[in-house]
Amino acid sequence: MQQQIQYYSCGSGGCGLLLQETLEDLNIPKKCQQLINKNQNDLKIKFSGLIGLIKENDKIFIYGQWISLYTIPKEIKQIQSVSKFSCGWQHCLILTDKGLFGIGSNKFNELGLELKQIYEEPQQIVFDHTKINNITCGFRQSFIIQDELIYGVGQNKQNELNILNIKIVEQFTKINIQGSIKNIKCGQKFTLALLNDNSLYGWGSNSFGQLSQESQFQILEQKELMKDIQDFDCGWSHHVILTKNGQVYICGRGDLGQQGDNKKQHNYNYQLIDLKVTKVKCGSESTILLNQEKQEIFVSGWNEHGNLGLGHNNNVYQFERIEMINSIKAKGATILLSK
Amino acid sequence: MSVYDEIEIEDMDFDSSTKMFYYPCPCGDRFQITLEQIKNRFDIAQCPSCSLQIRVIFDINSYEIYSKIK
Repeated sequence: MQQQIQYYSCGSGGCGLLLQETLEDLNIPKKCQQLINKNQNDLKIKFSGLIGLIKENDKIFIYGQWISLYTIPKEIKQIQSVSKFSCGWQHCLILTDKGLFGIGSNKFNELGLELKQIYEEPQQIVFDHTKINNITCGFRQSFIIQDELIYGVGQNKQNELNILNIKIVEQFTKINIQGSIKNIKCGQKFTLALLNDNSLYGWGSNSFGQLSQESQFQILEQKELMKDIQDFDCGWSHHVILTKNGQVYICGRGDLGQQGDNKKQHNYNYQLIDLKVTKVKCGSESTILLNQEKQEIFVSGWNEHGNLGLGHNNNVYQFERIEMINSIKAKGATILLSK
Repeated sequence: MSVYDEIEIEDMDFDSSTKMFYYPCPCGDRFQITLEQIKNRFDIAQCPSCSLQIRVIFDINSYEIYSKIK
């Protein structure tokens, strides 16, 4: 028999991302009250700083804050047959068999639309949707991944799009990258790309060492960071990787405990973490490591909103273990987990 | 005083109706500072939900430029 999934949430509640009945912060994971009537096994949920999307079979729902605050997920009735979707900090992209749609902020051209405004209703984006393999929304950027090509749009002041000498890219523009890309994830001012050969590349700002380079390299073009990657994730100014042979490395900002090494320092090179895990995740300023076999997670970092699920709001500088957790999603100062 | 980050004013989202500048906070809320504060050379933007603060980088022309935006 299939195990029944039950979602729990904790962390920053003000934007409605906890899927609870109130907007208060929670420092202990609580069952998501706004999902109780849904068969949670059928749900696919993604969220980031301000907005989240829930796919339930053929329907898609939006929640969180963009123009209005939606604590109860609201169906986007204009959109059906969703195949892929991604949430950026204040915008999202949804791919269907009818086309590619964007909702939310275009103030920094992150949707590639004409007007610099926030769109409350989905807008169709002019792009040949039949050839899209994957879509990724970042802090103020969006990416479209095709077989051999990748397109980017939005803010590029720190070379987040790997397109030189332009601060804002207004329309989806081909990015000059060597190799075919499987997946992209974004920090606040940097970008990581996993290639089909499982090597990891990065570009953008390295001001905290978030691209694992010495600090004199402030802004980087595409650079290979590591081979044989199993899993990776980005915080705002740090990132974590898990290699195929089970090693976990973290680099970047560390003053709030993001590195989990009890030093409160930024790491300008990868630091090995002596923990056995199967997945790695980041909140904006926190790191979460998951061991699915043992159903345990390890958490460290900024915890002002109780977003590490430990029952308190103090920052954590060394990894602490929490038991009985199946899976976890983390973004911003919010986590969503299943037990 | 230690600040979370330093952000250039052009990277902030300016709302001309309320004369406020905003920038995302890692908690999901937004750092905010008023045009009046910029005029008075005050450079710390606060998040209403957090203890975090950012320093806003601007120059002497910034007030004049943004005060003309309707």
